[in-house]
Amino acid sequence: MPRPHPIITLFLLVGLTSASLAHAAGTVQVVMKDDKGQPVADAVASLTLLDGPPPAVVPPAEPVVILQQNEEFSPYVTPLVVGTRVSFPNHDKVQHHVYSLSKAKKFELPLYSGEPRELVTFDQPGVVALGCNIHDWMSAYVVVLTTPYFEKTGAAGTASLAGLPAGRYRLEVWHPRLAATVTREVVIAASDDATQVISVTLKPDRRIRRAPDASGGGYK
Amino acid sequence: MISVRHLLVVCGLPVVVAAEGVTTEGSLTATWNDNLSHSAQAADCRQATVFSADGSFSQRIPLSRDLALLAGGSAEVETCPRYDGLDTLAAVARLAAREKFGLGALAPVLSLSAEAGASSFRESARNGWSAKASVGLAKRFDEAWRAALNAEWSHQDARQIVFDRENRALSAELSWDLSDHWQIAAGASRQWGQQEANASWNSWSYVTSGAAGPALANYYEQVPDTYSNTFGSGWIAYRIEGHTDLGWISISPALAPNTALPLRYQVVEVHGGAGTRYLSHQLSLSLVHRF
Repeated sequence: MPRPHPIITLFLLVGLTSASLAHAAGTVQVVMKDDKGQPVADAVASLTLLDGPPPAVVPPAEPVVILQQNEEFSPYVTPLVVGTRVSFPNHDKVQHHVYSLSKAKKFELPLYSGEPRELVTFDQPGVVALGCNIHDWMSAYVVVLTTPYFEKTGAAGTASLAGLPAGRYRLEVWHPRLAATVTREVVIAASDDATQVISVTLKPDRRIRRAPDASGGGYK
Repeated sequence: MISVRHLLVVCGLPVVVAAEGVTTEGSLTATWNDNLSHSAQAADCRQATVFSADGSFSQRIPLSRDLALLAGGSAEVETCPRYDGLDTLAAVARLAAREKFGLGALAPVLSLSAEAGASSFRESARNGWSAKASVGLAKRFDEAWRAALNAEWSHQDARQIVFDRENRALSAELSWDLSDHWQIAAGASRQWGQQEANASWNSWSYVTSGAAGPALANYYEQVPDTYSNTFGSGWIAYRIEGHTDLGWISISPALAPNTALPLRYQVVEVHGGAGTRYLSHQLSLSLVHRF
């Protein structure tokens, strides 16, 4: 994996467009770039309505899938709503031992291959760091949200949050390498078309090295 | 001489055993040694490059959440074009128990390992079997820093008593991952026991004649010795008792997620009886791949 510069400036470009005057619904386009203009993937952008009753959050009927393949989790970042069930199928030849020590969800799925015996329900909001107890370099994140308005930036560094009712929102952007969640207030009105640029600093990408170690010292 | 067939066997081992649940690894290494002959006299030091290829596999057998057995083996072929008496084909069977104290990457790991193997040298007097037992404790402190301590007993039983060796060793290693691409590691070890050394006939006769003093002459007359042509005609191979200090540092870039290219420098100082000692410096470059 390429190692980005330790200090990277991230530009968050938020474009607000009114999708339909009749439905008073808008779309928030989040564009994330680093200081070299390269897109930043795997950032989770979410919008929380600040005025009025919160919208209903309905977890999907089918479980979300986080694969273990080639001794990595895929996807690396998974945003979902509270109450979502997640399946962790193992497609590798070797067994994995999936676990989390995060406050939002402590769990472990002891050594298994193929389909896991149980699904994991993420029932509290927060960021859940995943690991494999056998392969230390394996890591991934589940971002558990209480709002239905969220999206993850793709390889192009963009995320589009559509179908938003007019109103005042708190925009939050989370990324594994952000020291703290970026928060902004965003007002979506029928005729609004606004752009925001937010600069943040990313932490170095400190993942455990996967490549094999050199063998220990010896003499013969 | 090591044949192409031997190389194919070793290099192909990881592929052959790439079965369900089996972890395999292979490496190619070139090591330059400024004192391959383990000689105490500067004039006798023979420098050369040794090339080796090895493949290893291990099967993890979980016994409980934290305890697992690792059963496996390895095969190695080694060749030294300049001193081909050292060309080797070796195979080892290994069994280890590994206890992880807790969950997660930072949990310490205790390993108990036992292995037995056989080696075949071009200089057949070196042929024999070996056994090793070790206990190790490894602890990762964060994503970058990791330390390991190891205690080891090893025994090598060759056709000639000169090449028999028994050692106990303690070692410590600290590794620092600068990034997920670059790793620096450094370590130190002390072995107590027996080591091989070699001397040309001129050096040997000079010392054993008493020209270097009676203490040295007495010492060299008591150590097991034999003629060995590995480093030249009429050379003497002998075995000394004492301790060996090793220090090493390595830098290892990752070429791919499962591939690394460690460059390692190691210095070795062997202390024998009657004040004898010899130094060795080694520089090695390996290509290591986990299949």
